[in-house]
Amino acid sequence: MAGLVKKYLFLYNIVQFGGWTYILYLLAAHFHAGGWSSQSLIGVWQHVGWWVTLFQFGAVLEIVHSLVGFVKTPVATTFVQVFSRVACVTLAILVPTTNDHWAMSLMLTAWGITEVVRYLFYALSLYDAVPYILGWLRYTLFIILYPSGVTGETGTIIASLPYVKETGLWSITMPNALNVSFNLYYTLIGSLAFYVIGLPWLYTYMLGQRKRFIQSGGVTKKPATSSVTSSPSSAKKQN
Amino acid sequence: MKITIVSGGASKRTICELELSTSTTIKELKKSFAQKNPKYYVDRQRFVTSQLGPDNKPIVLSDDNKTLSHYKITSDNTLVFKDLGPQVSWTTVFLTEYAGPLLIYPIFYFFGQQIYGQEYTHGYTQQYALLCYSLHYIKRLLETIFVHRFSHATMPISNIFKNSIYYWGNTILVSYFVNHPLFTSPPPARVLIGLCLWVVGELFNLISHIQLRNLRPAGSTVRQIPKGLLFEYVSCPNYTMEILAWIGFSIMTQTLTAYVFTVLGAVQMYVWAVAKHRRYRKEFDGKNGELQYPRNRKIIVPFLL
Repeated sequence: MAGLVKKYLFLYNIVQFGGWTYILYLLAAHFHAGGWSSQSLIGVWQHVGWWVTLFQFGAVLEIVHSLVGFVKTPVATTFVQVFSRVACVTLAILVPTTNDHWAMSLMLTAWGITEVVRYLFYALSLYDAVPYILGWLRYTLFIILYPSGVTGETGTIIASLPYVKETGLWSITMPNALNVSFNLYYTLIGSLAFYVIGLPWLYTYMLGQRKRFIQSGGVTKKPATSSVTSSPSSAKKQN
Repeated sequence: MKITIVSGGASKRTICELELSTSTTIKELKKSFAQKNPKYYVDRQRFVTSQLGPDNKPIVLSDDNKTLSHYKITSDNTLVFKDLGPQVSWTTVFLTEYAGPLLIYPIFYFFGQQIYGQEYTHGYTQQYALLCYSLHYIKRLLETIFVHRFSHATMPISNIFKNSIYYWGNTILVSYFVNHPLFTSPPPARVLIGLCLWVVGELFNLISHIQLRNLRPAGSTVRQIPKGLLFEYVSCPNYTMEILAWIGFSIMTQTLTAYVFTVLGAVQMYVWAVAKHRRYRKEFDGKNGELQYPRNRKIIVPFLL
């Protein structure tokens, strides 16, 4: 990897790490001020929303990193990850009924902890300097954080549904000159199905990663790429 | 000479040893490998050299008709085997992915009342669109059976799912809107222009496919330089004309999803066309008695691209 790209990626990951640490701090301060009661869940989005929006939309850069080949992660994978998060943030901005819902607090807390560990892990792994404990956290916390995050995200989506239906938010109805219609309400309900399919799939994948991490004694080497395994031309259509 | 076949990846486990000669073709190599390992039939196999070639990559023994000596394998040697996974014939893939659109599109037309929950009659644009969409896929099915001669017999089985999801999803998203009771037709002149473009596109697409077929004698995988009509201008007029047909369909129906899939299809076909254009140029480089590929021939858009 070119030195400059490496430096840039390190900087990017450190900035994101800093951002999410700050968000986590704001969340904790907010819950603390509310005495860690259910009352403290009120106003969470008002308190941290701006920062979450900034850093989560900033993560759109990760799609670019993948597109231009800075990182090896497939574009589609990165896109799905970032898009679902950005969609949830957009819902939080547009739909007031989501803001004080318990699912919002759950979602933001799960994101915050995940991202703090993940970005620090990425930053340090660029220089092969990941302490065992950090790797262990990365491959262990998800056991709780993934289901929490998904519960938070789906809860937020569900909390938005009545408002979206009532206001017809972002909906396009026919007839129109482009013969197209869009219904955010049904799209959101449909998106819940993806969470149901996606969670077990990602969970099993991460459990496999965890097993590999533990068995290798904490070596977080990137998988070797081989030029031989590139797909043969016969896989492509030619007519 | 003795050829040792090893598995790929880090393990490099010895799979078997074959007794072959320098004049053994790759096809024969694959056949003898399949005899010892019946699970890996010929189409599933790929071999690469264990030594790296000039560009620091292993050399792929890609041409079944070439001999081992062509790939500079003239003494005891080791080859790396790669399993391409379960294969399925091109014909099966094509028939499956095209049968979907042919069945799905008319559902929205004929069962519109149940799907959209209201009674309505179809306008002439919707009738033409049904005809065009169905004819396109009927033509493709017939071409797959009667016209195409494929240079590769098979492709990985996962392609059947990937391609079918694309074609079927595409059809649902186009048909739903075109057959909608609240569909707005463009003015008659535009419908006519679209329809004409569609007819021209489909017709010349068919002609190009027949020209391609006639280049390749039955039962062979011979490659020649295509000639005549649109091939004088571009390497892949079949794609050019298919794109034109879909542009025509989109103009005629004036539907966003149709435009979107026209663009997606055009991008994909452009990528294939670039690859094919390059292959032609590489294969017919004018050296060693080979023919020279026409220099001024473009990829997909005459005179331009």
